[in-house]
Amino acid sequence: MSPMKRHLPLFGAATDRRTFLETMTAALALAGVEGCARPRGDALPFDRNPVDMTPGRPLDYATALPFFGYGVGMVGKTREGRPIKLEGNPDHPASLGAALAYQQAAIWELYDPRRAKIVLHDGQPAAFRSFLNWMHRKAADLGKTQGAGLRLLVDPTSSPSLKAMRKRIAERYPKSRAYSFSPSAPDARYRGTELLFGERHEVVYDLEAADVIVSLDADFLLTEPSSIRLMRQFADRRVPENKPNRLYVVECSLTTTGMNADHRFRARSVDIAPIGYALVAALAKATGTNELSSSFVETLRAASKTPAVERIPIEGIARDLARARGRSVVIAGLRQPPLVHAVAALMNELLGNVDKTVRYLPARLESTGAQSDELGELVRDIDRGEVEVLLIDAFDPVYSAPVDFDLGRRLGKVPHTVYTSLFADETSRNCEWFVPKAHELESWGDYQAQDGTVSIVQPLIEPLFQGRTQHELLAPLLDEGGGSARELVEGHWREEWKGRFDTEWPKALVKGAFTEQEQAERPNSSTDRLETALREAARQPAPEGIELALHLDARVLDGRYAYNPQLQELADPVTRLTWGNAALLSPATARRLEVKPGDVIVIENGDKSVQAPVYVLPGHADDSVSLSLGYGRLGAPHGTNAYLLRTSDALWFRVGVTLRKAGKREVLVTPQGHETMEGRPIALSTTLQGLEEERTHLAHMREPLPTLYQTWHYEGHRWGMMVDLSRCTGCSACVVACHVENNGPIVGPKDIARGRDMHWLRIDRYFEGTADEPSTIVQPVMCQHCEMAPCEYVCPVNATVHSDEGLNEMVYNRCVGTRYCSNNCPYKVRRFNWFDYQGRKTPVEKMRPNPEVTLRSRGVMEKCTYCVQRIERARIDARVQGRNIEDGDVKTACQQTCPASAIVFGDLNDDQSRVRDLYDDSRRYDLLHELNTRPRTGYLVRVKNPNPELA
Amino acid sequence: MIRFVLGEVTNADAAIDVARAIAKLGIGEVDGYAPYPVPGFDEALRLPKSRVPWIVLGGGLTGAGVGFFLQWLLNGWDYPINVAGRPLVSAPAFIPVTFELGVLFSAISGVLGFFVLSNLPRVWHPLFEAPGFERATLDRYFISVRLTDPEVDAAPIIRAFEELGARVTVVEVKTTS
Amino acid sequence: MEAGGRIQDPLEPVPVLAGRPTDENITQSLLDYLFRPAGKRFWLLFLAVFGLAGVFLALSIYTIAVGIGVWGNNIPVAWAFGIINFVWWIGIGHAGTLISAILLLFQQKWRTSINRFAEAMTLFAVVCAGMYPILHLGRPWFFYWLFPYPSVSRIWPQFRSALVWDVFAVSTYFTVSLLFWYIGLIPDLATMRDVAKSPRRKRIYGIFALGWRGSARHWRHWRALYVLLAGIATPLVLSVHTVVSFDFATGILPGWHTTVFPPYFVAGAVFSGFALVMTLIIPARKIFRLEHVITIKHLENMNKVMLATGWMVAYGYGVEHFIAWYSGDPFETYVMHNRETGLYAPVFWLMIFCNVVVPQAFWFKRARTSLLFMWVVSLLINVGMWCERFIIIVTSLQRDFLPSSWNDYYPTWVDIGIYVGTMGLFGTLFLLFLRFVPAVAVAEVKELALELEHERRHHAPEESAP
Repeated sequence: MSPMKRHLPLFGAATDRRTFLETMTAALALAGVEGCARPRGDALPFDRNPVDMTPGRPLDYATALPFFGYGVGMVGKTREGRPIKLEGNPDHPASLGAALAYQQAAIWELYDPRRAKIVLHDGQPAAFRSFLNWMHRKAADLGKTQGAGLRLLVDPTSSPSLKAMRKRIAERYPKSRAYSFSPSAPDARYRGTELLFGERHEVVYDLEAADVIVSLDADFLLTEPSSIRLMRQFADRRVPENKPNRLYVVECSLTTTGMNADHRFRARSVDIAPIGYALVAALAKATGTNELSSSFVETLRAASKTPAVERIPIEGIARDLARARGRSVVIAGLRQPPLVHAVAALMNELLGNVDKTVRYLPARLESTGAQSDELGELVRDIDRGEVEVLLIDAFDPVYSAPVDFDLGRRLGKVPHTVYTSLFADETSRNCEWFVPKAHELESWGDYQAQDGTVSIVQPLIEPLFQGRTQHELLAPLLDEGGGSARELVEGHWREEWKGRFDTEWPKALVKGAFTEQEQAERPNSSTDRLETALREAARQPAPEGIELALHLDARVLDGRYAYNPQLQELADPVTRLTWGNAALLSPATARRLEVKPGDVIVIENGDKSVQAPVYVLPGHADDSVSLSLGYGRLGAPHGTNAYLLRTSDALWFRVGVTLRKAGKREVLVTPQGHETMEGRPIALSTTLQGLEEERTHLAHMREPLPTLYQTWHYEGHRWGMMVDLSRCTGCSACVVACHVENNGPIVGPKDIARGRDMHWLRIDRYFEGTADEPSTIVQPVMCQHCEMAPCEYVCPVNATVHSDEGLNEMVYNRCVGTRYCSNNCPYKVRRFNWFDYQGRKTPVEKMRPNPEVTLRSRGVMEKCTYCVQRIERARIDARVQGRNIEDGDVKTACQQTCPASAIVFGDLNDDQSRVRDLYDDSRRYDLLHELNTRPRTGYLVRVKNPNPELA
Repeated sequence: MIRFVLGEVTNADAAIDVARAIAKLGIGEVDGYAPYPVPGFDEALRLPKSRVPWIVLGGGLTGAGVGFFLQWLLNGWDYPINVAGRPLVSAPAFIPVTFELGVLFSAISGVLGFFVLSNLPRVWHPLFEAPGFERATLDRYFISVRLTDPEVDAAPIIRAFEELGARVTVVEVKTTS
Repeated sequence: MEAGGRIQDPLEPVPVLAGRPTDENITQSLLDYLFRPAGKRFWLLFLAVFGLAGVFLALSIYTIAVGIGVWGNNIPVAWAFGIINFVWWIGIGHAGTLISAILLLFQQKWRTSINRFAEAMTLFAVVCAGMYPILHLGRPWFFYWLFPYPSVSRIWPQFRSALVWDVFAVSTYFTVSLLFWYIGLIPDLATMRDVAKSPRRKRIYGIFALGWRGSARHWRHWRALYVLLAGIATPLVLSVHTVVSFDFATGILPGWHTTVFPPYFVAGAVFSGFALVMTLIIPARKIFRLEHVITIKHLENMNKVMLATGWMVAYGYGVEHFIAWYSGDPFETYVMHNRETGLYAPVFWLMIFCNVVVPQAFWFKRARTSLLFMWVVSLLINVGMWCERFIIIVTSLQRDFLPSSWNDYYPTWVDIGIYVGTMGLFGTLFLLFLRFVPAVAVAEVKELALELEHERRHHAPEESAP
């Protein structure tokens, strides 16, 4: 990047002759590029076509996005220099080619017109240059005092180059301190290993070999590091052909993982620990191990004396685990205290799972102790007046810090605070300097996955708003020259690789992932620390009363994605709520409190209290109220801000809150109208035992019924899609992928509440069984592309017709909007543009849409197209290479991103295709088969694997 | 020069008697006028049956034919496309439009036929010049004899009218109408 | 002359034409109100309905400008007020042609004095109905794409769609009704021309009278045409609401996909049509002093027709629910169950009350002949028939196959405004009609008078003696 661009936005405080000339040159140069779509001053148009770019063809670049501080390898698709879509990087172990909703939605974050655009000094616009000057001056001052007054507050990161930089800063300023804080940091698991092994380890699970999985409040399928990989491994073992695994889940609120359990037990978050202790004791008995001292087992028993434990068939689970020694795994949830993680680790030791289903590697996130403790130290430093300069690059600490720290007020007491973020948020208001941050897709950087795989973050586009990366922010502190992020990242790896750099670097960029050889650690455990901790726990009386349980949100995680409309409008996989959260109560508790869904209740935690509408969630633990974090942010004021109840001594749950009615009601905004199937055969499931019988029964739900018409025959390609309900976990990544790929509009809470959801692909969630102990099943529903489509024969203007390959095509520019097709669609997958949803885009937003998909105008119907643009792309490529389209050439957006690979698309006329295999599978059935619509989309019945012993 | 010999009576029964008598004379073109269709008037004036029904029938058949052909042409031939896996020419589904077009054509052709046969519309007619003729649409009944040949003597007609107690008026028109 | 001359004809117990008026005083009594200047009450009423028509216009513009989203519709309830009101108005529009055509074919004397009135009502109702299918489109400005015209893209309408059938049925129905009405009107327009005092009126009526002069040669064509139009209008009337019912019957939705719909819809249409005729004619005959041509006999007969058609509609309801139960189809069973007990159950029971319970009063002569009572009943029936359409359309969409997509429907103020607005439009057109066109077929009444005169002589020869 030429220095020119760096200085362009405004003249610095001290404009020297050189800058002036540069700027004038730029002004002259840019005078000619009015037509250029890129934001002002970012680039000059090509004077000749770059070698690797053909206008009209997408270009893919490997990069990475952080998730819980770890790297997830991504491949960014760019069109004419604009990133328009992200896909998982197949070569990256944490992605395996898949991505979750969080990564899929990143494109919308990148082009969000509300992003911060300008440096602020005490709220006044300033030039980045003047900030740099200020930093250099400060760096000089701090140098004199060995950085006594210097403090860093950062997100825990796995970035090798950043970690190295911080180390160098620590060396240069010995008296300075760096604290890391993230409300969602997985520190409990680290500290669990510390408790058992005496040192912190990265805990890497591997479900490929796991026959029996026990989750103690762990939502490892969605809101955990490496959840993409874990979901793939889990799903691969759900199909009957692959020796299905068995999942036990003990949890407080119903999570995505809980929905997929073969046996799910509900317990207050606080009761999970005793259940864990009891399980170890039972396991000791079941395995007949002598590794545990009898006194230790006694302590376990003592610590697990709570009624909650009685309700769970601990013995049965233990026996099942014992049967699967070395082929099982116990996972504790991030919400649980270190003790539970230690206990889980201990169980994996007893079961001999280490190095089989769980590996211990060097900790990736440089972070000490508990998050709240770190922040606590910073708070103490501030109160002692030791902090003079505080650099913050962490997720909105003022919003997300434990409320008792009152960080907002305290920042005011720090002489100099610097904060960088994508959006002007609550923290930015309390800081002296605010520097717009560069989006990951605009930045140079690097991240490490749990297993150590490194990916280089390379930008897909120039920073749209002159944002900076953390590297660039820290650079002035150690003036090593060369302040640009690229120089800093490259520099780091030049050091690392020494001579190999010139060969390794390009490889790393192209492949997007490389692994440094390292030895898995084999730490030896000792139960002494554990025993003392357990004694302590045993001494505590079993807490009674209503529990407040805070959770990571399935859509906005801890709130860092709250500004992203894609994720706000995405329906929660479990509650199906959009645009906000709710106070989740079990039916029994709701009955006891005499509250109905939508009643607003006041949740009082000591002197703190918030209001939230009630959502009665079947399968939620009794005497517990769940709130998900991340809502009610400044600038994204949807839902209830649960952080207002989060205190440093109880980050995730606390017993003894009071609930009372607020005497008003709120609309729960959800696109799903009804929670059960009313006994209709829609989303079918069976057990491994009942499968054979089911197969014969399903035969009647697949064969086409007779018709009077002579039917059409499809030579050539016959596109079809199969959805395996055994694999689908309901994570909803496909929903966002589809919406981004196909330029779906965001309609906002009002229209969603009115029933005007615009998602082409939705995931229906149904409860079966009792309200207290329901079994849950999810079913992705998109256009079924019926061969005898009810929508088509009612359209008066031929606006929806069949292609010769059997696609049910929607002709937008022919549609007059009678909406008859939607009425007659039994699957209700058609979506209507009630207003001009696509209009009124800012120039930045205009860069986002996928140019291969029409923007639908007001008053026309739209629906899933089987990603026809991808089919045509594949057709063109194949033709250019003079071959036929082969299986796998066409991947629909939903299929490509699905971490569970539950969706398969392809040519039903091709006997070799994967989709054909599934089409011929005897688990297949047609949705609403009796209507004889002859859908091209088929479903494979879900097969659960319950423990016969417990059933 | 055209002459209209006009006889006026005050009730329907009388009108029929007069009409019968004048028609018997067989001079000129006889016509009758009444505020409403008087039963037996046509027979008395020896008027043939109306041909409107045949026109309507023809129109109806044409309409139905056009209707079905149109649908066959547009959906089956000119722009054949797979809609809901149904046959290109879905005859049963084409029936409603066929029927409606049949009705539409028959109605319109019937109306047009009526206008042509009775050579309407027109805003002026010689008889409008006859004093008191405006009551033909209120409560009076007229019998007229149209004489195109100036040689023909109107006297016998006038006499006949007077014998039957009808008030006689003669209208002369210069133009050829 | 003394009024109420008794007639022995058992079929005509009460006179369909009071007294023995001469042609002249028939003309007098039926036309002179047209020459009297409009009274204060008329103008107040006119301004009221005209204002409502304005509301309709404004809200239509608003809808087209902002988007159909200002209505309450959603997925799954993609059709609601728009189509409900369309079917309601179309149904109302059936009585006119039915009365004129079918009763003419059956030579029902009593039709004469109300047919003109009813036909006009038909036309205006169809005009109102026609607004909705266009307004409810996502892109109303392209409504003409439903007609087969050669467009650049060479795409044509899709003739398997019941909506295309609708376009043809409704436009045919409007055209034929208009012709039927106008043909019947020509002789009276001529009368107007001839009795009009001011030359301006003379000229205007003269133009519309097309030079009619009551020639026997014309009358015979006129008669043939009039009867034929009646003949083809009769199956047309039946076909129109049959086609409208196809909009639903050809769909696959539970609650729509039913073979009983065509007869059931036609009956319902006649039912509601007669009801509105009553609603309008009872005050009209009073205001314009038409009691001697529109006698209690007419009203009573119409009440009988409503009782009969009411039963046909009730049968329709019965069959719907019976088949749902008999077929054992879970989807359809649920829809019916939902109608009786679901969110919109009040509407359902109101419908049952208005359409099935209330008309039973007409078994009793006192009810059939009490003006106030029958007027209230006619209003209730129109309410009931609107409810019926609401129930058929909304409750079927609201609870279809996949429970996940179930959703409820609530109208917005725009929905309601447009509905009330069309009533204003209807009223405006109707008042204009009453102002400028003879509301009773004068020529036909004269013809009827002659017929009755002959009958009188035939039954009572002594009376005809001097």
